[in-house]
Amino acid sequence: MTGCANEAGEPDLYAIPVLDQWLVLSPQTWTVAMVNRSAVAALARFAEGSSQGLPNELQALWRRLTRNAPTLPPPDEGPDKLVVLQPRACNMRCVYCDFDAAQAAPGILDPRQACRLADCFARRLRKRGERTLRVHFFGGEPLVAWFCTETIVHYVRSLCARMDLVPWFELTTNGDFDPSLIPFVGDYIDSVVVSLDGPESVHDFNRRSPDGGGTYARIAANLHRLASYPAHLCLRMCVTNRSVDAMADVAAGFCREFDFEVLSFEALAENACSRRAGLSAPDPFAFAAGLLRAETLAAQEGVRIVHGPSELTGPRISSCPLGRGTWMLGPGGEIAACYLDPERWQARGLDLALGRVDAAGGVSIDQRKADEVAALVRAKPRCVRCFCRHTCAGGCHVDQTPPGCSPAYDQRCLAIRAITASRLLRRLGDEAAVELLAGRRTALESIARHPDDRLAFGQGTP
Amino acid sequence: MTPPIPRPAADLSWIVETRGATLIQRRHGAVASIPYPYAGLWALLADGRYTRDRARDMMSVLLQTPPQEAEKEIRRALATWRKAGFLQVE
Repeated sequence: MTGCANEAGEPDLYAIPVLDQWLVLSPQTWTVAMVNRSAVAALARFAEGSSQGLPNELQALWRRLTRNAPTLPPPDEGPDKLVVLQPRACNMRCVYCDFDAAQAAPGILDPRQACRLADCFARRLRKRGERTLRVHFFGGEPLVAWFCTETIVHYVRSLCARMDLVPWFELTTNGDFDPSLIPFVGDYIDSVVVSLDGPESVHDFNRRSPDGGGTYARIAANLHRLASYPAHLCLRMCVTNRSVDAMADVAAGFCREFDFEVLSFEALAENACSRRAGLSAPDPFAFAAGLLRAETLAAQEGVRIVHGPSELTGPRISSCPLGRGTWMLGPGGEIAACYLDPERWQARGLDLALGRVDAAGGVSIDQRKADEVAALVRAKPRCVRCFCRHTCAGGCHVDQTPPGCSPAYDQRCLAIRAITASRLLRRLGDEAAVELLAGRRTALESIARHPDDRLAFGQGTP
Repeated sequence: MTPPIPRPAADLSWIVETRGATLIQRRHGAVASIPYPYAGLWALLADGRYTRDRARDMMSVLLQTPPQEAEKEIRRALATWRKAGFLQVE
């Protein structure tokens, strides 16, 4: 066996049934091939150590699948990004939001705390020889505290100029902000993610002002204004049971109305608030089909469709900032590995607090805890048999694959598996197969529910 | 009496760059580069959201000095920019 072995010494190779063939994948070398049943059976036997040898026509494929692969990145080499959650509060009252923005403490981060953390971050980046200092503003709604956001942006730009680093800023916003902020957002933020849940009627049902009124018109006006600035625009749609069948139409409508680069789909994570509003998580196969159809349409307009855990990026140890060493700075100066409310991770028996920063003092990070977080994302019994283990890599480590979770695939896993396999087919140039999958639920289900994708575990005998 | 709010001169445009701002006069082309931390102050003026308190609070963080020191620096920068013709004379 060559460099493509997993931690148990087994070949890190996978085979998934797609229509009447098999998709064979090495996620470490990004080698993908479609083969028939007898070929996958021969590959599986060989992977299991059979003395039979491989037919000549499969030997070249085997070499490509198992050539020395880049190793997975080491856990938590240090922070890759600084996420600033300066307010937990928000100026909107979305019906499915369980961040409880209305009840959130009105506290806003002292920008000097973020600046001290950025100093520490910059020193670590220089030590590792890296050039880009990435800061992501999140919330609550970060533009509720626009003066804090603005001060941090200019301090970090100043710091980067001094330390020969390149600043990169991302802002996740609900888009319902004072238009006087447009020049700041458009000129100084590199990537702006704006939540828009569909056409006006759908969006305004989900995403409301505190008085219950809609927000689409104001957000759309801001998006039109932002289009003339250099910031890259990403629209983010939270997909629910009500909007899942309209995903492709929504993508087409957004492409007609707005000038943007990326459309990110996220499935609603059901909670008590969403249930009260009559909203539930979308069916995973309808979600996958909708995303694939939207991807076809959006590509024609030069718009990229994103679904975080299904991106063909990797190999990676986490598709979530948790596990990549991201520092999340909360409004009180607390530093955590996860942006969710601490109560959410504590309920799962997790302690994701890493340390704190004081405006006048320094930064204290508990390295032992950082190491524990890094170990957490590597222990994923559910993922061992899944071909998405080095791309999705467990998804949300708090809600989807927390320690002790069921080994069975959940609804999110099913969607991720169906989308990832279809995207691999797209990478092979087989658009016809993708179209077929998007229209045939049973085919998506047989991919997603395949019990064990490991090549050496009985493939070819489905 | 409240002092007038400083604004960029009418014949001036500017480019936001990673390390500061470049000012361009219509008749003369690029005339100055404003480096950080002063580029932060320029951004407030350019975006039309300058207030004395806001500028003081932000520059105090950028310069890592007490607010009174930051105010002095702001006055100095504004005087220099006025003299160079970068700000409108009210």
